[in-house]
Amino acid sequence: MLKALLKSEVIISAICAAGALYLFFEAKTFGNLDVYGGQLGPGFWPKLILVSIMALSAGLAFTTIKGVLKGTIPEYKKIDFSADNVRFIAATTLIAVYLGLLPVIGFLVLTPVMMISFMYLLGEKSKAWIFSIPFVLTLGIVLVFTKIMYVPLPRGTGIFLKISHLLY
Amino acid sequence: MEIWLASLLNVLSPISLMLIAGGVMAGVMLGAIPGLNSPMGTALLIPFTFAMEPANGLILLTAVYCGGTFGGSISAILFNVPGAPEASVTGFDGYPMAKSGKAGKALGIAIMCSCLGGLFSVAVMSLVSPQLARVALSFSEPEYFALALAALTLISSLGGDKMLKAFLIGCIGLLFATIGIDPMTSVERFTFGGDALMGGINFIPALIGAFAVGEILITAEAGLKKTKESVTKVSTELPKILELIKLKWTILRSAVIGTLIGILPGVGATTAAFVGYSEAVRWSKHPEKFGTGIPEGIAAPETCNNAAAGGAMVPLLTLGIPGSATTAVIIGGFMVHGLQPGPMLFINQPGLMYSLFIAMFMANIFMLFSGVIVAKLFSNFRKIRYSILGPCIFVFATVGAFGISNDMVDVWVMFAFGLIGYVMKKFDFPIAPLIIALVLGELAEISLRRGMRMADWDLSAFILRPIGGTILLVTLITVFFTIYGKMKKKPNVLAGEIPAIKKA
Repeated sequence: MLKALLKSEVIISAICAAGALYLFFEAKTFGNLDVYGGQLGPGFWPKLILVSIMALSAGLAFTTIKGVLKGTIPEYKKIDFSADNVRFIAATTLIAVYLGLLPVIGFLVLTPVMMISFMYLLGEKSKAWIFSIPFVLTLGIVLVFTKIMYVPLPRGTGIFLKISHLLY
Repeated sequence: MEIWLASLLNVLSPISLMLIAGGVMAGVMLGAIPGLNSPMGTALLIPFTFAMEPANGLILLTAVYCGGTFGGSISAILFNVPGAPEASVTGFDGYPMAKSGKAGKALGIAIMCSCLGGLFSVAVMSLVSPQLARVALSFSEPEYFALALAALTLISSLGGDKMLKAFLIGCIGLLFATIGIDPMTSVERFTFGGDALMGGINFIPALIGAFAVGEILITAEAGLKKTKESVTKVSTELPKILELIKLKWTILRSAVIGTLIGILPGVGATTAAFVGYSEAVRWSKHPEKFGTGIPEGIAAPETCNNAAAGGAMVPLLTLGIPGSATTAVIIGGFMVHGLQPGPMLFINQPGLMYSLFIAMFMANIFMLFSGVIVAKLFSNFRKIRYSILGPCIFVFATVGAFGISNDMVDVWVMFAFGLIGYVMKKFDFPIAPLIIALVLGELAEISLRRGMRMADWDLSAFILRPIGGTILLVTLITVFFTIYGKMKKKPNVLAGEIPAIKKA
């Protein structure tokens, strides 16, 4: 039974159901405006969906547990922590840090740094590529998007703003 | 007839031909680069048309429009990053096909079907514009709801053997679509007091995140040595006549659907592509193969979205109502030349109208050549190692998400959906239902609520209207048979399902 409960489908269903229950109470605060005679107000559709999510989560968990117990679905296998997981965590962290710093450091300065780090992370060996592509691509994007298409890419603040202002 | 001939001669002049060729090429390029799109390109070109003859200026704008609608599919097929919203569905089958080493074939199908869809809608537009505009105006909320519901039922087919998972993910997509200010009452929903989500979740960053960023994270985790993607020389192969004959019903059905949806104001080519794909799945003898990289999965949305581009010109030219974002910009092109789109334009400027029809027809033919050239240019990037390409795709994805409304919230949405896409891929949940529901959720909700309000809370109004009722009936019948068929289906051992062990 425990091996059935540890299946990813069951865990994800439980998370979805719990989240849906919480949001259902949130949706109850939207209220039904008088102008709609109390019918099909702003909360109607979200509540309908949330009830469906709870029902479907229960259904998925039930069929998974039933399938594992009957032997039609493979049992839960323990996932060992490996270098693969480290690479995933590093990539996710790198992206999150890049996005977090983008408004502060700006696209022009930060993007080549992020790309070089990402290329190393993905195992690129050629130094010529690593130290050419990020700069060429960043410069190309900055010129096309800011000069031709007038997309105001993030410029950063302080000294980085001054550097960005040299180009856009 | 004389007007048609005079218009033809006008369009065949060297300047007009150059404007069509250049406009289509520019449109395809703009469409193919994530973050740039045809409304943006068309808007930027309007000042260049000031000095042109009105016909030439409008020919240039419509050529960019035609090219831009197709262009997005190039990056959707090659990198799973749709360059334009209209190409969102093309990646469902285009990218798996490219991954299996058939990128050239996928691009060829997309180019040819876009051209055929566009030609069909222009032909229809030239012949029966006023009549079609009247049909479009008879569509009301019940019909829009039926249309959205019909497309949403695609979820039941897309999930394959994981129907419960698909429905659950579809519902989560519908929930995401409710975030932001309620369009009917202005009540904030699930914004948790902040202003970041007040505008709702834009589906393009979500789509880029779920597919492109999710794929990058999966590849980063798997390590490059373990990925089995075949990187071969990509050479665009236009489909042969026999292959087109095999796809004839998909193309014809999608062309009709695309043209009709394009005519409906405010619906647009993106919804048309989803509905076209949904109908291709519904009428297919092998719906389970959709999403694995089959020609029908590319032909349907590509025919539909380009047909919708032509269709969207119908309300613009006949009623002065824009059917899409780009046609709204094109109205500006009319106005700078002192022209007011609408019924009087056919009476006062018939030559201009017919010149536009012919120019759009030719633009779709030019698209075959431009598409092949730009696809070849972009396909060279696929030869690059993923350790270099992955970070480049991520940067384009970021710029693409940011460029939609120049807002970092969209970039964070992309990242969040990247993580969701990663989890879903890792634990074998289908991603397509999430995006389909996110795109169609608002249309379904608002048309249902508005329709019920209009009908004074009488649900029968949805069923008894001829067009809406018929769409609902066909939808219900097909959903019933899909679910019934799946419940009766025995486990497919070859596909990895384990048959029940009978106890002695």
